Amino acid sequence: MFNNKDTRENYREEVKDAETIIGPSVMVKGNFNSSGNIIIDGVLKGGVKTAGNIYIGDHANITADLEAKSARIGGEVKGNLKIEGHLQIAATAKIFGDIECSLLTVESGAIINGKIVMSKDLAIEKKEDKAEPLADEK
Amino acid sequence: MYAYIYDDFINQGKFGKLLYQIEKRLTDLNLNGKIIRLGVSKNIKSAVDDEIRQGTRTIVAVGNDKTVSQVINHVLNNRSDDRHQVTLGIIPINLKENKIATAIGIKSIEAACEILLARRLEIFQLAQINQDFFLFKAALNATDTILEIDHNFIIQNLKPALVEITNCPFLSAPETPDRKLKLRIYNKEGESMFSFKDLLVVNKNAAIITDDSLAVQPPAKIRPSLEKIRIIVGKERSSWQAGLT
Repeated sequence: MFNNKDTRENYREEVKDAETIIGPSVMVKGNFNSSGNIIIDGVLKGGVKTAGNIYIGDHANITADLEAKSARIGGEVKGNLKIEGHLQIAATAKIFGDIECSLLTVESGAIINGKIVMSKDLAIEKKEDKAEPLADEK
Repeated sequence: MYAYIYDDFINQGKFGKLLYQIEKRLTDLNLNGKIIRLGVSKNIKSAVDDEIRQGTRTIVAVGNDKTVSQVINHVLNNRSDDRHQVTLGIIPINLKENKIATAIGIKSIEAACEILLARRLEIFQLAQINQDFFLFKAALNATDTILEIDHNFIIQNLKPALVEITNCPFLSAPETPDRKLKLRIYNKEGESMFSFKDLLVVNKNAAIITDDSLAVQPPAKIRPSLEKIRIIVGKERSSWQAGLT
C-alpha cells in the first residue's frame, strides 16, 4: 500500500514544494501556523495548523494537535488530528488521539488509540462558506 | 564624482602592479576619482561618512567581500538622507574572496572597470541582523543553537548543524508584500527549512558570519529590512544562490 517506497515517495513528491521542513535531529516547540505544505521528520511539541498538506515521516515524533488539508502519517503522534480531506495512516504510524477526516486509508500494522469521526462536513462546510456571498447577491 | 575606497590589505606591495593597472584603466575610461586608502589614519566608517557628507554619489569598494559588506553597512547606518543617493560599485581584488562581486556579475578585475563604465544599476533589498545588514546570507556552524521564529515557536538542533539564513536581495525576484527570509538547518541526517519574518538566534559559543565576511555575536535578531541599496552590476549576473555557496 502507501507504505511502500513508491507510494511514500509519491506523497512526498506532492509536498515537495513544502514551505516548511522539520528535519531529523531538529526539535520544534510551539504553535506552528502555515499556509503551505509541511514535512516533519523530526520532533514537534505544540500545535500545527496549515491550509496545505502535511507529510509526517516514519521516525517523526509529534506531541501536538494537527490541522491540515490532507495528511500522511508515518511516525508517532500524540494529539488530535483534524484533516479536511484525505488522511493516510501508514503501517509505522502510532496515533494517540482523536481523528476527524473525510477520507481515510489505514495500512495494516498501524496503531490508533482514539475516536475516529468520518465526516464530509469538513469539506461541505468550506463549500457552503464560499457559496454564501452568492446567495446574498441574489 | 567617484570615490574609490581601497581596503587596507591592498596597500601591501604585492598589489602595487595590479592597482597601477586598475588606475590606468579607470583613467582611460575617464572614471578616475578620489582614492581613499584605508589604514591606521583612516577607517572605513569615517571614509564613507565623509564621502556622503561631501555629496559623493558613487562609492567604489576596492577589496573583498568584507570591504563591500562594511561599505554597505556604513552607508545604510549613516543618518543622513543623502545615503539614499549613494550608488555602490565594486572592484574585486581577489575573486576567491569576492563572492558578492561574482554573484552580481563581476567576474574579473578587468570586467569591473568596464562594468563601472556601463553603469548598469540594480536595487537590492537587504536583510537586517541587529543593527547591521547583509545582502545574501548569514550562517552559523555550531552546536546548541536556539532559534525562535516569529515569537511563535522555538527550534533546537539536537546535533551539530549548519544554520543558514538566506535573503533574496534582487527586486526583480517575485515581490510579496510580506517578504520573508529562509532559514535552513543542515546536518548529517538531513535538512530543515522554515520561512520567517523575525528570527532570534541564540548561541553562546559561535558568531554568525554574514555574507562570508562580517562576524556578529549572538543573540541576534534577523529580519527582512526595508533598506535598499543601488549597486552597479554586471550584465550577466549569476544566480544569487550560486554566487554564495
